[in-house]
This record gives sequence, C-alpha cells and structure tokens, in this order.
Amino acid sequence: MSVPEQEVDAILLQRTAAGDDGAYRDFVVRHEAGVWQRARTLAQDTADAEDLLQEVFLAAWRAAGTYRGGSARAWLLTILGHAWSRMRRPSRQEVVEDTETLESLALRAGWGTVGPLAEDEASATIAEAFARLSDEDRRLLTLRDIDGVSGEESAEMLGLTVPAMKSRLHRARLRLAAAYQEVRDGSA
Amino acid sequence: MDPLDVKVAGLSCRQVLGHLGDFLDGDLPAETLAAVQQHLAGCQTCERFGGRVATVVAALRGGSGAGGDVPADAHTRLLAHLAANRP
Ligand SMILES: [Zn+2]
Repeated sequence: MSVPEQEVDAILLQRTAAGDDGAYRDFVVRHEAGVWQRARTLAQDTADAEDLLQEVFLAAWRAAGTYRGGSARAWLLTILGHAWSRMRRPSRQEVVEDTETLESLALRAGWGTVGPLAEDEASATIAEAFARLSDEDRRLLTLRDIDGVSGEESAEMLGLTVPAMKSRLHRARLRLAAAYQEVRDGSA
Repeated sequence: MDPLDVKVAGLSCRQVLGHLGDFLDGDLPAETLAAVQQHLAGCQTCERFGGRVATVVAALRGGSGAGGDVPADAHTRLLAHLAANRP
C-alpha cells in the first residue's frame, strides 16, 4: 500500500464523519486488536474489556469529525484511558497498600546473589514470571514497560500521582525480577 | 553491618536501590545519576542486580504481553453495538 497508514485512518474518519458507515467499519477492523489488547490489560475481566471496546469505538465514531491527524491508535487509546478512568472510579479507594519493603523485595529478587543474565535467557521464562504477578502490577508493567505509555499518562489512567506511580512501577519490576527468580529456581 | 548499608562512592546500596527505578527510566537528575553511576562502577552487587532487573524488564518488553485478536463473538457484538447505537 502506497498511502501512509495515518492517511488511511484520516480518510476513513473523514468519510465516517460524512456518514459513510462502511468506512467506519473498516476503521474498526484496522484498530480493534490494538484497543482490545489495551482493554484486556486494564480491565478486570473479559466482560469489562468488551464493554470498554464497545464504548471506545462508539465514542470514536461520535468524535470522528474532531480527529485531527496523528496516530489513530494513540487517539483511540486516549479515549480508552478516559473511558476506563470513568468505569473504575467507584472502586479507586480499594487500592491495596504495598507493605513489603524495597529491601526485602530486592533480596527476593536476588540482590547480593545473582550473576549476569542474558536477555534471551530471560525471555524464555518471562511470561511465566509475569503471570504470577497481581493484576495491579501487570497493568502498570504493561502500560509502562510493554506499551511504552508515558509516566504522566499512566499515572492519570491509574488515578495515581506521578511519584506514586513511579514507586509502584519500581516495586512491580522488583516483584517481576523476584518472580523470575522463583520460576528459575523452580519454587512455587 | 547490613550489606545494604555499605557505602561505595558516597552512596549506600540501599540508596542506590531506591534510585534504581528512576535510573532505569532515565529520570534521575544529573548529579544523582553521576553518583549512582560511580557507585555501580565500584559495587559489583548493585551493578549485577541493576543489570538483572533491567534485563528482566527488557525481556518483558520483547514479549508480546497480554492480548491477541478480538474474539470472534466479541467482534460480532461490537459491530452490533455500533449498529444499534449509530451516532
Ligand atoms: Zn551497591
């Protein structure tokens, strides 16, 4: 395809705004997997993720005429972030306080005992380590370390201040390293 | 003495551990960054541990994470939801 991807999105959204439903369907098909992945990261379960998916694409349809170019994926993910913030607001107080000290986390992750590690060696068992983490940790690691969402945007989505987000991210990474160590050592 | 309280280049390992998150994200102010780098140059324990955490995080980045395609029934319901609520 010779037309740049972003121009395709711009054209589809222009046509959508002009009343072309088929154009919007094409736009949905182009981006639903990306929106779905982020929704699965944020939502507690598949049903919530599906609600988010529907809400995002309906909101984007209504807003098609306001799209001003740039990455359509980023535009959709911003809409998703806002939708998710609204969806989870009532339970925001439920955030569990993190009581384990950094020192004890570091020791579990092998501080003082571990040697160098090659990245391809880590790749082999990383998924299993990641699966052992809490939803909260996986959500933050996905936003920041997998999807590369900025610190400010991640903090806003999670209802945290930037320093609180950073502190949680640091702990989540140490817990990931600890889980990795446990998987390697074969402990449960 | 707790090994975490050992000081190398003016910083204890405990302090370096506290800075590790910002270090990995490139968010440390220049002065602190220089101090952490000096500590890492002189402390094999922190250098190895920081490297370990960085490698594990990098491996995560390299993996695909959560997701995959939208399940077929969810896709069908999405299109139906949009059709029913057409703006
Ligand atoms: Zn040290």
